[in-house]
Amino acid sequence: MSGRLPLALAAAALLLLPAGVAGQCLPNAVPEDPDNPCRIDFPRWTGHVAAAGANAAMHGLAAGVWAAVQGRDFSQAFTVGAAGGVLAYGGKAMAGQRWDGAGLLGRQMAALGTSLSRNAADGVGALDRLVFPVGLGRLYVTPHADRPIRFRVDALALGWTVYGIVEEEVTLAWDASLSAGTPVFLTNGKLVHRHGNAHAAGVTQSGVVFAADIPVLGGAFLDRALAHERAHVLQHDQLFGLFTDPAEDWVLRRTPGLARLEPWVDVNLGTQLLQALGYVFPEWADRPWELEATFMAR
Amino acid sequence: MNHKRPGPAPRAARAVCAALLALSAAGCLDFVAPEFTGAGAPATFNGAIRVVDGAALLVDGRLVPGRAGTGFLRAVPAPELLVLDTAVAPVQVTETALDYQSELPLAEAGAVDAAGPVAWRAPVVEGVGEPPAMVWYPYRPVAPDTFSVVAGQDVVVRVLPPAGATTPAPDRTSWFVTVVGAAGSVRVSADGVPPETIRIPPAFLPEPAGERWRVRLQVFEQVGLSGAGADYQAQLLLETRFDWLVDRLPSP
Repeated sequence: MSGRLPLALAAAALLLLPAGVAGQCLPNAVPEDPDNPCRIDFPRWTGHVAAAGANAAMHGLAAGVWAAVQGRDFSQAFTVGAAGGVLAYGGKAMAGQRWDGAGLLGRQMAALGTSLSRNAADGVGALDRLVFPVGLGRLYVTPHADRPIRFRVDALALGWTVYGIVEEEVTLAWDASLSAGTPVFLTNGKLVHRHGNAHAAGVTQSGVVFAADIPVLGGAFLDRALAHERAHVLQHDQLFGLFTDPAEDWVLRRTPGLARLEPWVDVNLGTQLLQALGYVFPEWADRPWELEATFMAR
Repeated sequence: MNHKRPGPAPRAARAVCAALLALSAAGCLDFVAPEFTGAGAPATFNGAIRVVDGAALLVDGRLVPGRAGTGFLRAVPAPELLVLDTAVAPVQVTETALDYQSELPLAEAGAVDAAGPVAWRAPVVEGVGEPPAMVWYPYRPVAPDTFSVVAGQDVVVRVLPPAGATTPAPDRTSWFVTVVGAAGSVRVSADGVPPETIRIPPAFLPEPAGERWRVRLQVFEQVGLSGAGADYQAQLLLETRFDWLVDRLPSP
């Protein structure tokens, strides 16, 4: 592939970054913004094109840039990475569906896409290392390694799960957890309020979901909140796989006293990365990850 | 595979990780009960009943069942208004309100004549007890639909008081007489119960259109109602409306 083609692909993908579409506009706890793009109507398929393009761009650029930094071919890594991004988009679209297990299956599909992109970034075979989120950790499948299957516990997800079990305001919802492929905790008639943010119908912390079960608002409200949070779970997986995991491993391996933990523990700073990005996008309605989750949950 | 032990991570990298981890501590969750605007407020009905020329009964209004103290929207198990013996179904139902609009010929509605009484009852709303109800006796006309006055004399309209006592009694009553001519109109109005005879002096009268005036009398009564308790309240506007054609006869 010539040097110009990947740049053209990247530019084309950037043009498809999530734009405001009518499908993203939902009644929620966020006050209406008079300048909100939801004032304009677009066909729903444009939202899917935008989401697929944004995911392809993010994965492709992450893989291509990292490959280039390591002295390898940008275009090949970009192409495979972008393909992984499209898979990740498909996983999110599936996770937003309302049938049982949609979140679990969508999460694995997106994880496969993120694995492809990560492998492209690292210059290994597309299927040489697959990472699948399983409950409170991840299954690392490396068929050619001495130990082909390894489980790593997700430290922060474990912490938030313990918090959810200890916290009297929420209850672990087994069916929703199985369906989502991650622990899901429900409130008893209360909204969730994260420090520094408005009241919310749901919050995802390191892949663990806390959602507001408020019977007064009806079952559709909870279903939509859960679908929205399932999309966030997959976004956290993406950020972890593409960005924070390599950095975490690099730091852990070089930190005295913690290096031994690296083969067994993922820290998972994906949520924290998004929180940090929240300072770049102070308005909720401007945050690309919220627009995408809202669109997918519709 | 390179098994060389990696060197220690730069201090900056560890600081970034520590800062991101610190964000976890800043992300504590609180759980707050939602506030529903108007939770526990009474169910309300606002509407009007109009008797037009003793022939038709116009009914309209809006029921807002509201939310119970728990925040749940109140159910409306019997959404029909009862007017005379006729059930009036809502013409539009939304999540928060029911709208009513209907015209009932008085004869079909079971009224003997425009003298009433017109029995009215609000729809049944769950959890707020018996709905508000009332019995209304409209005002009654005396003159025929068309009558004559000699040029230079007063136009006189007469109205009879209600045949019975409206229950509960109206909070406020006002009346309007409007005389419409060729190039304008004149209106006489006052608060309170209308007199049995209302005179419009010739100096006030507009030039008739083809020797004929159109005269309208409207009597408005406002009444506030409560159901079995204070959780269901209604405001009704009761209007009695009469239209006459008045011919001007030449002076003898």
